[in-house]
Amino acid sequence: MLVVQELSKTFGGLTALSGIDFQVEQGSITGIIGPNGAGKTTMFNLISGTFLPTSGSIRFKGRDITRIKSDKVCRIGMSRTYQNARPFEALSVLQNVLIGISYGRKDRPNIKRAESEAMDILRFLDLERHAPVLADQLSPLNKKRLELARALGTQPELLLLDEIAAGLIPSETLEMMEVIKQIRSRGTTILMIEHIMKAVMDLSDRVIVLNYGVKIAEGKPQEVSSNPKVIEAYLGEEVEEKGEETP
Amino acid sequence: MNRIILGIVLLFLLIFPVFNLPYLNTFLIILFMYILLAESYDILGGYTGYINMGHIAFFGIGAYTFGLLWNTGLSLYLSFLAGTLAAVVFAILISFPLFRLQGAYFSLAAFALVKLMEHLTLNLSSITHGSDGLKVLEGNRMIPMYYLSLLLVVAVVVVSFLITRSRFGLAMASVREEEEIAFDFGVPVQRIKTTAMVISASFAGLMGSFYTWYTIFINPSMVFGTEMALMPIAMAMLGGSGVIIGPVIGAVFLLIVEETLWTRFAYLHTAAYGLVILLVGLFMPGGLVRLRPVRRFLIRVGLFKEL
Ligand SMILES: Nc1ncnc2c1ncn2[C@@H]1O[C@H](COP(=O)(O)OP(=O)(O)O)[C@@H](O)[C@H]1O
Ligand SMILES: [Mg+2]
Repeated sequence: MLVVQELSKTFGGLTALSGIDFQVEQGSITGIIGPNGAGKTTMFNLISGTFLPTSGSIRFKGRDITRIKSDKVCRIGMSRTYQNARPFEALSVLQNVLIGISYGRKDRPNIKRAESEAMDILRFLDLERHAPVLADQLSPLNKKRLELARALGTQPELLLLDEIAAGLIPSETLEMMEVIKQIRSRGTTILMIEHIMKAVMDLSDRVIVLNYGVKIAEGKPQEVSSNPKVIEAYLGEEVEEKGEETP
Repeated sequence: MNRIILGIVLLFLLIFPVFNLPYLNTFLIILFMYILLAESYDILGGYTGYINMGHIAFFGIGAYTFGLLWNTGLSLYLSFLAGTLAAVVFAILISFPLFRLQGAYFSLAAFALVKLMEHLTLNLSSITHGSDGLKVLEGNRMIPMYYLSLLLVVAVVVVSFLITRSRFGLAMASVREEEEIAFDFGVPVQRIKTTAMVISASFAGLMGSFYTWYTIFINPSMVFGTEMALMPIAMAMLGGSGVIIGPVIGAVFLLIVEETLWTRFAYLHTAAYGLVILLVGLFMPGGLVRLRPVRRFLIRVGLFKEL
């Protein structure tokens, strides 16, 4: 479904990604892990067409999308959430989802149909009663759900989730993972960046590990977690994270 | 409720000329002009968030195009059409460079275009008669002018209303909120901005044409002056940007203040619009319609329609 080859990105002098290769199978869940600054979000920005790669290629559904911009990539069938939830704050929850439905895909449903579809999605994500509420009034969990709802509105075949569980308490994370499983079981392929190890390991069919812009490991979750390179990359990270999480 | 109120207001305005009050008739025509300028400004400013300090350029271009063509003997209708089209073409041309800018850069560049037009009309005196101004044939009769300007105001309000209910309006609001993200979700950001500006410009250009027809005489500072450029923004901000009725209320309010107060303090007049923008920005950023009691009242009567 997605084939990434030799993908590199530099920002000025900084190499954020270099020579990344991987594939995502249709119907699978693929996890991307790696320490902060490893280049995970940058990879999403390249795949979704927000940034242009410095070199390399991206194919999606057999089509070269390397230089196609994000508006069109979305309509081809790929959608995403952002690491820091970025809903349209001054618009209602319903309007947020309507934008994805109205512009993010090839068919252009009329406003009536779009609204009933949006309500279905909100119901699925337990946001139905917040439909008329402005997005900036939502709790962090609901903002994350809204991001997911907006992305689902575009009917993506491939869904990119950037740390969708970050900032959630464990029970919420569990719930979010349940939702992701359900989305997959409806036939959507998922590529997810996740910091919370347990979440990735439980959910993913395959895991890709990035460190300093390079892919250092790839494979089934168990294989990857016992890989010495991965353990080494994460040793430093553990310390950092504990530092971050003390309030 | 909102239908009853709007119906009564409209009915009153429709039969108003019957009372034969020339002074108030003139006042209403000016009011309609101000409302239209503020409301059409807000189609871009209020819904896409691009504060267009150059809005009055569309008005002035419409005014001059109309005057020059009508003087050549072109029919009134075609002159109106030409004034509108000139503003639209100008909007399309400037939208490409302008919309590469954001925030204050966009606003200032747009304002610079007004000053550019002012200089052009001042200096191309073989065509525009420079600071002597342009005089056109007197073809005016109060009653048709009254109804035409009323019709234009109703049209701009109806168009704004339709926008708030459409996919297009939704896209405009997403551009106002987060342009890059709107683009990630398939919103054709550039096209939305250009279209919004074209709609906004077409009304201003048409009103500019009307203005020349109405006043018989225009000069560069009357249509491209700084005061004129600030006026629609001050009105929209004071009333409440992004709410359909906001610019209407702002225009009514400022014109009444102008008529009752400023005529006695001529100097204040020049600074007033800038002052209003400053004070509203500082103390009442949502404008009159978003003050809690006003907002509550408007919501109750169903007139608080925003995007
Ligand atoms: N738009 C940008 N401009 C410049 N540098 C960037 C930009 N985006 C990311 N980077 C840099 O690229 C590196 C990778 O960042 P990122 O992809 O966000 O990492 P991750 O998501 O894995 O934490 C970081 O050093 C970051 O500072
Ligand atoms: Mg990241």
